[in-house]
Amino acid sequence: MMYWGLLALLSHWRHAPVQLVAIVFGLALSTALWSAVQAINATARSSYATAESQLTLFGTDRITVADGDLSLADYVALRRQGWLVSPVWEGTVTLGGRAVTLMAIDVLSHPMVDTLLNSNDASASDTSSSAAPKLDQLPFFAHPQTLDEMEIPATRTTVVPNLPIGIVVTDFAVALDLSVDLKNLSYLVVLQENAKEIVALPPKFRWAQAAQISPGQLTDSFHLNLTAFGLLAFVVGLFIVQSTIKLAVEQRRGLMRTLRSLGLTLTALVSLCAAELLLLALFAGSLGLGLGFFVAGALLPGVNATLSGLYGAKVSGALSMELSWALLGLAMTVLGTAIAGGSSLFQVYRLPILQGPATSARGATSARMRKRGLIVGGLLLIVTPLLLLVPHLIAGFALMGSLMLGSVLLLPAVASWIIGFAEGAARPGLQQWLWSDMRVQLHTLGVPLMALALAIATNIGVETMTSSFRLTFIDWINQRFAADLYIRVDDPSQAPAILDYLSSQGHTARPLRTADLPSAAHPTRVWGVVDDPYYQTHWPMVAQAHETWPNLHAGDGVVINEQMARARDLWPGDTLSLQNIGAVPILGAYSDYGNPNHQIIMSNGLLERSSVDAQLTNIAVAVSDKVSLRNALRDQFNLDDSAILDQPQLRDQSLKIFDQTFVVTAALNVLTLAIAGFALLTSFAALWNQRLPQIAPIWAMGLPLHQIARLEVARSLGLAFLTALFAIPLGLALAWVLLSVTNVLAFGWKLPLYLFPVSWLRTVLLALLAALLACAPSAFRLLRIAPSELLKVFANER
Amino acid sequence: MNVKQIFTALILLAPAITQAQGYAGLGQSAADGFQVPERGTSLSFPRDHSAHPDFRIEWWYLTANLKDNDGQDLGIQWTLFRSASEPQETHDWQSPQLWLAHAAVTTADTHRFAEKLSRGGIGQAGVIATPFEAWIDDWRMAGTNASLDHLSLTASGDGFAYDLQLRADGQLVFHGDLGYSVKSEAGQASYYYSQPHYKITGQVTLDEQVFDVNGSGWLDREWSSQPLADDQSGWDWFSLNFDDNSKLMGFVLRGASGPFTSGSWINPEGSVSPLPPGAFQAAPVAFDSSISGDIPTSWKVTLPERSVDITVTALNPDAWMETSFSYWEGPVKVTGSHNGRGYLEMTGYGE
Amino acid sequence: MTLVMKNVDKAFVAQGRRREILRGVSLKLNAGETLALTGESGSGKSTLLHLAAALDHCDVGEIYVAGQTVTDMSETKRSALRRDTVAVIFQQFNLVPSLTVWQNIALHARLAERFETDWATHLCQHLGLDELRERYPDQLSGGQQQRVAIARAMAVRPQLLLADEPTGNLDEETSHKVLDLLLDLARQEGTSLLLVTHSQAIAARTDRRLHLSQGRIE
Repeated sequence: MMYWGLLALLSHWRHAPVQLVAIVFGLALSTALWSAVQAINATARSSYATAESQLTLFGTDRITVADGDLSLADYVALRRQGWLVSPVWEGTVTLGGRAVTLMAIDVLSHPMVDTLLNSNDASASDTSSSAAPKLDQLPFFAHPQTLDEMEIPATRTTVVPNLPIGIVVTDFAVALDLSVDLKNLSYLVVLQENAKEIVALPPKFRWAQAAQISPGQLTDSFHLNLTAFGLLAFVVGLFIVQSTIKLAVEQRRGLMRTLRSLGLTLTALVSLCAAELLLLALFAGSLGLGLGFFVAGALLPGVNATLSGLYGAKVSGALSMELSWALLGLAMTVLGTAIAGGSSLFQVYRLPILQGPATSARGATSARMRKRGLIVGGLLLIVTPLLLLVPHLIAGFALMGSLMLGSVLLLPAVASWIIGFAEGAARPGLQQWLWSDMRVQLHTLGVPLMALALAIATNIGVETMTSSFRLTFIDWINQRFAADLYIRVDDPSQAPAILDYLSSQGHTARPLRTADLPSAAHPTRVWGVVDDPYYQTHWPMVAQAHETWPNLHAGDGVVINEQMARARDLWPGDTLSLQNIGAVPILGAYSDYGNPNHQIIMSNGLLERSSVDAQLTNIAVAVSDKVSLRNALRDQFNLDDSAILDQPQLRDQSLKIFDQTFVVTAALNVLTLAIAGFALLTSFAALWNQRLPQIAPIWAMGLPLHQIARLEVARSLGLAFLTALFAIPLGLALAWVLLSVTNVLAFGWKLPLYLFPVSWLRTVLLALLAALLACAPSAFRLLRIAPSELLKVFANER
Repeated sequence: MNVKQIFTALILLAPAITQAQGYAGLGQSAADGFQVPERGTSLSFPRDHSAHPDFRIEWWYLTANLKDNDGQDLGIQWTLFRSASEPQETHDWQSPQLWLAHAAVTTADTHRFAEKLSRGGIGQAGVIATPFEAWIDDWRMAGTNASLDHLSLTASGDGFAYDLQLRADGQLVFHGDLGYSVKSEAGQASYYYSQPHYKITGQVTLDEQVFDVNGSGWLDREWSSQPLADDQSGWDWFSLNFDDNSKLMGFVLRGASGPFTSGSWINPEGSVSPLPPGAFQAAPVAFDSSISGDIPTSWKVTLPERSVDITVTALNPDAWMETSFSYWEGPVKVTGSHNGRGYLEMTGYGE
Repeated sequence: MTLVMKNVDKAFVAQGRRREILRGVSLKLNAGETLALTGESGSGKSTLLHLAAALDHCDVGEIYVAGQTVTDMSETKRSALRRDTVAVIFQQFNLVPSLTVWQNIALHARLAERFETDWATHLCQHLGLDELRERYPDQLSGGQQQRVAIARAMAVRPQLLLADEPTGNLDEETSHKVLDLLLDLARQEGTSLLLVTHSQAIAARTDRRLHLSQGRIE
């Protein structure tokens, strides 16, 4: 019995292959979108360790000797005390006919080694022979451009694109052959594992904290965006799956009735439907996984470039088909199908054998559904503001979810209300028929329209967020790094000489002194600044008191970064208690994107009074001829390239990243809209049989078919437009949540919201295009319909 | 390729059973100027407690069966390996001597281990004879004089640390022919002696919890340039301490032409009798490790000439050393004709 | 006795208004007997037929089909009854549009797990469907679809055959042809037939006739 029942159920698809394709495709597309985001995230995360170690090139804590030389014996002594450190020697050498910065490391312990060895074709470190490679046979690692300018046999080199140009890295054993003096080490890198041990550092040594901008935090921010996108894609997918399954059940009501009247038991019928759904989900899910893999593969270079740009984090170029996201994707399809199919299966369960007065009953069902949506949506929207009170990232995400879902569930009710209002106001006749017909359509189109609203809102939200981020960040970089060159001073004893040199050359230099607060609960760095009009004009403030900078330079207060202000709720007018000074007024808070730590800026005088052990660590110089000053500094003071930061270079890099972010988000945007459009298309197809009885009387009354077709198109566009109008404010609300709630919860800084009406217009036009394409087949079919088809409606009416 | 792989390649003693390469070079003939062990060479101390850079590989291998104050069994391992790519030592960064160390603490339900790596020549790792000291970073096995009679032993890693005092309660034991230990029918051999008579006291820290411990320990010293035949793929090594104070060291070297077994019997008075090839027999009886299904966790061991018929069972079947090259190493319990405790090392499984 | 109805009442509630369809209906149908039920549109003919087919529940009264009480039967047993004992020829045929004529004819018998190829082939020949076996329902005329519905019902060899206006879509000549076939088959097989029609001419050809008016048998 089951076998023949299933065969009869499945025979429908042979009869209507287009529908089958539509359902499979709909399921597959939503799986694809979800799994593509998952794949990108998973791949990015799995490369995270690599990224971290790559950053260790310059971004780790270092140990140096406070006064004097750092010897090999010092290194060994620290090691034998249990310190997990790795030695580095840096210096200028002539190699392959060119002066380069050589960085000698211990390949047996330096954290960068994994990155060096992973990113190459390993031509020189061939391990396939059973003889062990010797350390003095290891290659030189460098950026391809660096290698191009050097004359070294290719067998002795390994290309590492992530290394800065002009730097060559190799093992100490190789460096020894270059007849350079390795006796004194430059510094020791503190390995991350060392944090676990607490061993007192002998007073002779000095521990320098890593550079303050933590690329990991920025990378996290990018992942957060993608995760938000993935979550919303999941919900869009869920809506689409539901609408396709509904279609599959809708189309076979008659068949199911017949089977029931021929004696197929209810349990058997429901089980068969469930089995069919599972089959469809697995098949379409697998297809979607393949598609998602393909999409992710196409987008990954963009993501890769995004992360490896400013962040310096490298995502492995090859996408790996990881079981985790594949299973997750498939599970999402099956789970989504189960959730979405649940109501349809329930409908099958409740399906009366005898056909009732169909349309009115269905109208009642859909009114009930709408009411249920209204209640659930209303409840979600009531919960939404409450979630604002919970200061946790999970709550932030829940807030985002409940806002989106709650609003979208209200859409059919709102649309129905608007259409009902218009219907009442419309002139009797064709116009009224048009509106009433639209309202009837809403019953079937409700779900795909919700998906469309969600897609539009997501697009606008995410795009607003990235664009706002971009504007703010570029602005911030322009102000904050208004000087042309930044010199990092590793050896404080060098500072006076550099300052003297700069003033002798007629450059205006702003020395910056820093110290780390030892007692603070959160890592906090104090900056001492000189009185310079630069701060008044350029420093980007989030909040400030009257006469902030004059007061600060006079030693009458401090400014703090936004992270600290938010975390400790300190704003202008509040006071901060400082060691040896006591309470000082807060004069302002400034934006400090990407910095996980707290920061305080004060005048040099105040810094000295606090007797914190401050060091001159940075010098900012405004200069027109950067290149020659850079070269001069390098030659005079043996400063390596990494110590001199170039402002335009930094800005260009950031711009490049954001443009890459745009490529990825834009591609995902188009994909989401396409899927929502596809859901509309299948719904229009499903409507077709129900449409004829609506259209036939109008046609019989003398309205030409081409005009009816035009009205069909107009109605579809009208519904899409209504949805878009509804979705724009929702998208902005989403952007606000992303910028002001989740970002603050995750990273501690808030971003201003900028509005980009042009991008809304573009999204709305895209949505209309999707709606147009979705209704086109139905309209086209109307144009070519044979009168006999329409007459059948009357023949069947009786 | 990652760091781990380069380590594995760098370190010649890697028993990482790369079958195709016939034991990662261990089976190769001792070319490249390395010395080979010769029968009849008499070992000389304290010189031979120290390193032999002109031999390819060498180790200082200490295992101990301990109990805490509650009587719970606990095993520790402290191993320093030396591996040379050239038969010499230079006192700079280009030293061809590489040092690798493993340390572990094993109880019935936990197994913590760590690994250290360093080159020779710069002082970060090494062994000196007078006074005796073997070290890598802050891991250290050091004597008060040039003998191995009184040692202090420290190591630490993620989730564990130990600090132990060792006192030898007997003489050194020389395996094979006065320390010349044959490792295959084809005549591969190593120099091999042990100090199996340590009494130990000290402290073991496991996940922040400190335990006072005492028990017995066994130090193996071995060096060679080609200890295995070409076709040998792994070994099972037993060092057992019976309750009547007799001791048994036995090993099975698994090869394509069948297993090669050898060992030593040490009577309660400390005198040693080498076992002829084939006298010592060990057969797996259970495979209970969650690491891999091919790891024997219980053995039937027989030595008919001493009426030994015992079952040797792992205290913790998951004592897997997931290090640059991975192997099984952990404390065992002995029951049957003789009762006691010991240590078991098994290589060439779970790959 | 293949079908017995005792004092059956049935009412529908639509838009808050209760409408009595059947009132105190009693009837009996013997094994192998053919019975015509006539009446005006809306007199309750189809409802009575649905009750007899265990497709619907009555409000009051008792219904027996092939000796079993349908009235308080579980839904599963009702399904089994429909599958194994009763066959219905629907007014709208209720053919499965995605199955061929042959598959449609076989469907009910296969669900009941008693499909006989020879018998189905015989039915096809007898009903003139031989040439149409691989066609789909939408490629058939009304009369042809009617014959497929009859073949599907007969293929299962039911004890009780219920036909709702089986000639409703046909012209007079075809009507009589189809009726001939139906009555022949019923008599050959000893099937009890309840035939709902509004045509006196059709009704005149059965063993017995009942007239339903405003929900009561007259």
